[in-house]
Amino acid sequence: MVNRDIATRIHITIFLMLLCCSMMAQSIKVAVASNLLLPMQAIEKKFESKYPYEVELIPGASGTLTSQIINGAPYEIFVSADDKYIDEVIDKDKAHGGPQIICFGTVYLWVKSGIAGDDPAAILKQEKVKSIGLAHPDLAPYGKLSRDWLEVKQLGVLVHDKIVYGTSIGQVNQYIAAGSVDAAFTSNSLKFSQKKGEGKFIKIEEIWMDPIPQTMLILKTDGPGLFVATLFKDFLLGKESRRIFQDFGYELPVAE
Amino acid sequence: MEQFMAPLWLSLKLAVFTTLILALVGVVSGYVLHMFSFRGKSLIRAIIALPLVLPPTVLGYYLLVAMQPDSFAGGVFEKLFGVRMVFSFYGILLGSIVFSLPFMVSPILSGLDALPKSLREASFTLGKTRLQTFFKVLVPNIKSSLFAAFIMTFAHTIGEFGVVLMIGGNIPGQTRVASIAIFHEMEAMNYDVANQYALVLLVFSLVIIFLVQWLQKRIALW
Repeated sequence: MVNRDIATRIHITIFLMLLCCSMMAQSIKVAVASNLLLPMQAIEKKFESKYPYEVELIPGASGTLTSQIINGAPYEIFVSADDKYIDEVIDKDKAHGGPQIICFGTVYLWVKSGIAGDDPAAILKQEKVKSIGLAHPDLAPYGKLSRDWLEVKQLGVLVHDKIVYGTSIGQVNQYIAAGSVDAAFTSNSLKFSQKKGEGKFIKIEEIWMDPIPQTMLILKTDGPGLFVATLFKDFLLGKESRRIFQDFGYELPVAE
Repeated sequence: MEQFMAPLWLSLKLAVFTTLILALVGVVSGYVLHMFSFRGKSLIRAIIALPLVLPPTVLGYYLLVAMQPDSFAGGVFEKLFGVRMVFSFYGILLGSIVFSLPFMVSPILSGLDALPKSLREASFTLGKTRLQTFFKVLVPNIKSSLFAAFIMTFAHTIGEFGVVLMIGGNIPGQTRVASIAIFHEMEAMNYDVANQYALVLLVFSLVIIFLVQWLQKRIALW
């Protein structure tokens, strides 16, 4: 009898919890590649001051977020750091509509203050540089491009034991902030942010390196989020957002 | 402030539900495993203890695979109740229940095992049924084990990270519990906020340990 009472109460509570969820202010969840988090936070503020809707940003490595989406994570929009992961989501039939490039990112090498030099390859060869932060190439497009660069420069073997992997650019930025690495491959958004801290940033630029296409996709969801998602998508492509991306050092696609 | 508190409340909610449901599971399985003898009992005990040694990622992985909407169990659940298990509160609740199972059941079972056999036999001799013997004679004698089980289950759920991250991700209001919030704020480079969450959890854990020690002394005197 007592057990049945408890069971009934649990049922009622669960029901009430469900009710609460459905009555909350309309909001959408945006899975965002870590490198874009800083500009996206600025854009989120602007969007929320303009419209009566809420945007929740969920940062992570593009690869991690892709695997979550494929496994049923309830995000309305996915902004990936490149188009490869977007294709995977489309292949798995989780997309609503087609992808759209919002801006292009660049790899930067951050170097701890006190380490001299301007040439990235020469800096990494120094004995002073004992650890190098890198977002995991299997999960993060910035990490992949950085590793490609290391290989082309034939530094792969030399720095192999010095590399400290982060699960995303966000984690690499933590290493930088904590000063726990001597150098790290990060994104343009850190260089142009107020949180960049000490040390210098050197742009990694080669003819063969294409800028990384930050790509957005609306996802299939059961909820009523499609309207807000479309609104936010348009906002991301709008003038205000474009300026914010530019402020964080992203290149913009040529206007149609 | 409200935003800061949300993950803490969510942790609390998760811990309360997990403890309530596991209290039921713990007492029932204590009754069955202690009062009856049957084949495969040691296997059941082993399965209950399994999450103690199992890496959270293993459990998280299996639950994620089993519960995703395209899977059999996940699909059935979604059709029946209209809720998705993965990346939702229900998912992390299920994960917590499985993961904290030994923290509830083991103290109860060892408390029961430590009681002298004569207690049970005296009760039977006086004509009491199994159910009466269990609830009126044995359970009142393992109060300290019961409290320890409740508190440890509660505390263990508050501190959970791996399982929640794997099957719950990091969804505000649904799965972003306090331990995940630290991870999230680090990723977002809000180190001061991460610091505050960490401090809250540190103080909480210390208080819980003191509480357990204090309660065990107190209850032993009853």
